[in-house]
Amino acid sequence: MKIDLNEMERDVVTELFNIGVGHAAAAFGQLTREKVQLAVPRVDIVSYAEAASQLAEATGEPMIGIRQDFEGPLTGVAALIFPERRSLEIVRAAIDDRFPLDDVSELERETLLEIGNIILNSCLASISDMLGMTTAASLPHLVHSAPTDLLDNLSARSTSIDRIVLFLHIDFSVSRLNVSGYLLFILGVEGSARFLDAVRGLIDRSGHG
Amino acid sequence: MILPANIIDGLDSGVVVLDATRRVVVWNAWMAARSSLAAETARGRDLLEIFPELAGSHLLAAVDRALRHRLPTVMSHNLHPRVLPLFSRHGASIEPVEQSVVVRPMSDGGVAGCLIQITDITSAVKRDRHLRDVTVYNRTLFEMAVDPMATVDRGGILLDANPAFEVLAGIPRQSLLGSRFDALFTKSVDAGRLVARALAEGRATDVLLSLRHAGGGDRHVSLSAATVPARSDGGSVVFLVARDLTERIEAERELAKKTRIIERSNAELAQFAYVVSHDLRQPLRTISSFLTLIERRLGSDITEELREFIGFAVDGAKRMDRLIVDLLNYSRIGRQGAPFEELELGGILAEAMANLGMIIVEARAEITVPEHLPMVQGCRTELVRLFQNLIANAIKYAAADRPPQVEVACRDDGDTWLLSVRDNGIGIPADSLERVFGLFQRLSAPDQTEGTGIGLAVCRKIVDRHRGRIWVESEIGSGSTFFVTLPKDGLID
Repeated sequence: MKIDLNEMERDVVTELFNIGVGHAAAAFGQLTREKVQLAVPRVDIVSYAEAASQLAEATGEPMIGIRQDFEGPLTGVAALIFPERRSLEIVRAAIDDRFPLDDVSELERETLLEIGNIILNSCLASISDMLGMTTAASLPHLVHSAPTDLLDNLSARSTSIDRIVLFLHIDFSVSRLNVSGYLLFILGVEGSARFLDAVRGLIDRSGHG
Repeated sequence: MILPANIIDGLDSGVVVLDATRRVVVWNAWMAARSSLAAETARGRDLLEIFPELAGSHLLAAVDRALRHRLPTVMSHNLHPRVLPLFSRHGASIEPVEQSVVVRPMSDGGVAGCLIQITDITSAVKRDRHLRDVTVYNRTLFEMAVDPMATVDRGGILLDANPAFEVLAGIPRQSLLGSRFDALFTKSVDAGRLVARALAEGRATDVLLSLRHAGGGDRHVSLSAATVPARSDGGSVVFLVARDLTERIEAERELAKKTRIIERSNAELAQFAYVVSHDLRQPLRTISSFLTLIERRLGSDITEELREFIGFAVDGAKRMDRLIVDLLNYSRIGRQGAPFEELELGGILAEAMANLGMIIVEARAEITVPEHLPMVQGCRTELVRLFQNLIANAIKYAAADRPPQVEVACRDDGDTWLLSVRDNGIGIPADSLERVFGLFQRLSAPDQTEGTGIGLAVCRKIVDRHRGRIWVESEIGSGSTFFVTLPKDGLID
């Protein structure tokens, strides 16, 4: 299954997520008193297989993902992915830790979970607002994986083969630290069609297209 | 669906269920114990009414998100310390509860609500804090250490380096990390062997290696290594400490070079003094023997005036011979290489006075020496000569109107023995107190006292060699006192 977005649709989706992560950045800044910037420079909608191969190609190192399942009008898995090596730096920059421990502590894992939770919640809320429907989400979980198995490990609960993936690049910068990661929204066929309809509806309502 | 109360109350974490209007539906026993608020009292009340300090808090925002957007929130300790004012009581002590809080939407038969779950992570926070204190302490030691320090993995790759190590290598830390440790050294094989030995035997100490400084030149270091075993990831690392010996080694080399030069020049000087004195004395002997022959040949024909002239010439030659002999002796002080030994100062003084026997008798000199004198470290013949010269001087410069009285004294002066030789002689002018220790320095005209003006120069040289001091205090017309210090420790020369 292949879904092509025209330029206008892609712009709208990109903007949608930028609004979501914009809220997340504001929430962060308030929490950490650090200047936090989040941006989604590009959005692709690709097939599950394509997303898996893109991830494997783009990242050669172990990754860490924060995953939340969501259900409602849209059902699927949302995940934020960083290189595992850099994830700790994000936590330490966020809590301004000048004397970090040699190993990741339990408390730092929990903070990483919260960081993922803030970003994913903001994006889900943004989508919910756009669709005008409530999308409930599960608690976040941490997933460690090699890049080749990453997508399978993230989407273990979704069984449908005909899934598509909203594949977003995300740039994260906090107190001199810059980390690039990925935001993934894995949707079923029905959900993705509903999502695209909503996007097109939004474009129609605003008088473009 | 809400679990039966006995299960919820049995949980080792806090459970609060709120309805859509934020009123408490469930408040379990854990919460009651830590908030000092019974379930019956809490139920039906707005959470904000129970904890007014929550106004505008992240927790209320999270509750709102769960109720309205059906989104869950994780509140980590690092970003939200002590979300709720909860305390645990152990006897009389009250301790705040460190918390990890989760807020999640829930629905009970279509009625929306939310669940707040609180976990007590006080012990984890304490452990983390302690670990952090230890880390800060260790890191500070590492960063502040004067000695260069580094850690390498089993493969000899640098994992860490302190600022002192950066300076030693002339390479910034970022470039050092991940590079090969052994490649920094002129003998990389030896450096690799040091790491291998530390891994095999646990430690290796004081291995001398030369490290190539990035800015050019080698740094000589003494390296010690120890294995730090069983890290949490299972691998062991080798901890290395270097001591930069470059300055010391270079100073030692420079000193050795200078010592060699001084030894050579001293040997040349000794040879020169011997040759000169030997060769100078030969013509002097010729002059005085032929003058004696001339006097004998002339027999009774010689005038009294001529005999006197010849006498002056012979005396001059003899005097010059004595000067040469004294000079030779002066140059020999400390050159015989006689080792220092433990000596009785009393015996030294007795020997010096025995050598002066006739002089003392003829001058009718009265010499007093303390009954008890300490042991000293030194060279016997030199110390005998020192006191012999000082006493002889005291007699020689006696006042014309009174027989010489010489008093030797000794007292404990801490690290040294302070010896003094006091006389009642003519004294030394204040402006000559230092000059008397110079070569050929005489205070009186040659015809008034005998001597070559070398005696006190010899004394100073002997005292110098014994790492002591010599000086004189004097009053014209009343006498002089010569002071000599000799160190008590055996580390002389």
